[in-house]
Amino acid sequence: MIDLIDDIELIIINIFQTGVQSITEELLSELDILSKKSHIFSLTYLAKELETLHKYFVERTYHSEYDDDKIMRTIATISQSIMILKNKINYDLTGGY
Amino acid sequence: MMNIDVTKYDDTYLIGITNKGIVKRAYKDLEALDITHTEHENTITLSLDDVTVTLAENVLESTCTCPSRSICKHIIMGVLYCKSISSADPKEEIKLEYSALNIPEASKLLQIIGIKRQQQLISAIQEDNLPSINEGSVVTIQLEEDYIIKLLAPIEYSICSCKSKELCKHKAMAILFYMLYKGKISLDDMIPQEVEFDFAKAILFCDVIQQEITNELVVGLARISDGIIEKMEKLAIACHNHRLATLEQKLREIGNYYDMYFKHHTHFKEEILLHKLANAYMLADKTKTAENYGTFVTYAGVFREEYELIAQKTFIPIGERYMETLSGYAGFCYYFLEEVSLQVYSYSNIRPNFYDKNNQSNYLSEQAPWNLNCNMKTLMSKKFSIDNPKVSGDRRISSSSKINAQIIEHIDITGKYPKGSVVFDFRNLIYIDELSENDKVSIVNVSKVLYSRFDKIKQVFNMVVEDVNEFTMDIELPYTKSNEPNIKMLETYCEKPSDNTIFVGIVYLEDQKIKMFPMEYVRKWQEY
Repeated sequence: MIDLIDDIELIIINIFQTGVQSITEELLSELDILSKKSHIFSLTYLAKELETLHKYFVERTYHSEYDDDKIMRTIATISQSIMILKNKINYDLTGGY
Repeated sequence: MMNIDVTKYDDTYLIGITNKGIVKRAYKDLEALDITHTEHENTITLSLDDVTVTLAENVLESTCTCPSRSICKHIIMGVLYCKSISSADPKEEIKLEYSALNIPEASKLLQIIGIKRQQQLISAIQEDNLPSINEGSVVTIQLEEDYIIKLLAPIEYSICSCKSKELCKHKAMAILFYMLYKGKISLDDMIPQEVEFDFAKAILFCDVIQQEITNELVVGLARISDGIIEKMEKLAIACHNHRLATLEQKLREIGNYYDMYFKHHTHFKEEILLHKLANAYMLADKTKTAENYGTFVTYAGVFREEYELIAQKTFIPIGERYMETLSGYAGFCYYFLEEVSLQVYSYSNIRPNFYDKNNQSNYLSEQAPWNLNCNMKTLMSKKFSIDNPKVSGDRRISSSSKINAQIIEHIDITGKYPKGSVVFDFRNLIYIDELSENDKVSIVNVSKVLYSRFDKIKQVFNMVVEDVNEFTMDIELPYTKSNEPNIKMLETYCEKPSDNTIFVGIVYLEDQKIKMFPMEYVRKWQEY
């Protein structure tokens, strides 16, 4: 699960680096895969947010003037969830120590 | 029947306008004195020993020929004497009339309590969490923060347990609660018109912040120009004008983090920048959707922490550190251990440096605060006490020049770290992340140094140390110009480490490990 969360964080950072306007097909398909993987690992909330983000990116390709605020909001939610999850995992592990 | 109704003054009221000692003394002296009195139209003249007291209808307007300029023992004796000879039955329960208090306007009181307390007041009303109010000849109000306020007529004679003679924040807060209790004001009166105007404008400004952050995400970090640093600073200034204190700080942090990115700083991490942007975006969202002024202030934050007066405390200095915040402030933070509670208090001498980053003065040679005749370096080797220090909620001491401190003695290692303040078992540090910043400052006993090295890639000095139970902790110090002497000092220590060394530093959790940012160390302290 830690690896999956790291992968999600990595793809979100990639999107932030590349910019929403220059998102590639590879990134989109990777996003889709990670969303499905999150479902398998019962990271339901994160999986839904990733699914939504994927949907927004697909929609964006068909609209010249898209409301990017929706995308930013989803990315912010995912980024915060990742931080909470990572802290929780670290905390649990340290608590065990 | 006397021409002045003195039965309305009970002991609680008399103590309120003077003090317990004077009333007690008056009772005692009354037994040994022969008093004569003459009644006039609106006054009573009393002869007590060699002084003459003229009692008026309002006891506060009474006069005495003794040198005292306030309500003296003789006036109180006069009241007690008149009460004892009065044929009127003493009133069973004397109740202070609201109109007699002569309360100032609510807007003036709101101004005195400041924004943070206004928010507390509004939240208390919304949650129906009002303080206990006891009505008698004196109205007693106990505030949540353990302050007891006694309201007397007229209001200028009211007493607060903070001992302030003026209309202090606590008195103002208590009066507002009493006005609410009596139905003289409502929740709507709590929101000053001027603030309401700013509130609406600030909410609109949150949209501008969100739009800017979205633009940054659309463009992407790889394509963003370095003009973003200036843009963030401009937005931070605009936030200040809209009283968005927390967002101002966050945007300045983001601006400085972009600066690190453009300068290829080794400590820059993309995920941290993204997280900072996400936080600022969400905070702007929460601020603009605040349901009322109280919630708005919770998210918008306040610019300066309020300080409270507390009783005299004795402090032992334990360490200091140079700090430079991403929000553009730099200076030294000094930590002190309070002798009785063993809690850590801090004093910081931090100034904005976002316009002049090269101005690094020698903080340790600067004059110590609290009217002490020494510099900070000297103070850090002395045990000292502060009379009624002003302290914030997270135990930061104000440097107010109205506060005086005295140096008690020079302290050596034996007195520096009382045993109760030292952590011997690292497992006790596991919950450190949940504590406030000053509580993260820990004094730990290191049994053994397992390993040390300077990581050239990460530019971090790292030491792995062990406690008595063989549990480990990482002591880490990132390389910066200001940390360089400390890294050298630790490297020298590691060449010949000793058992049972005391380390003072800020403890935190990272990468599933307990870590410490070190400030001081003392070798073999247990031998002293």
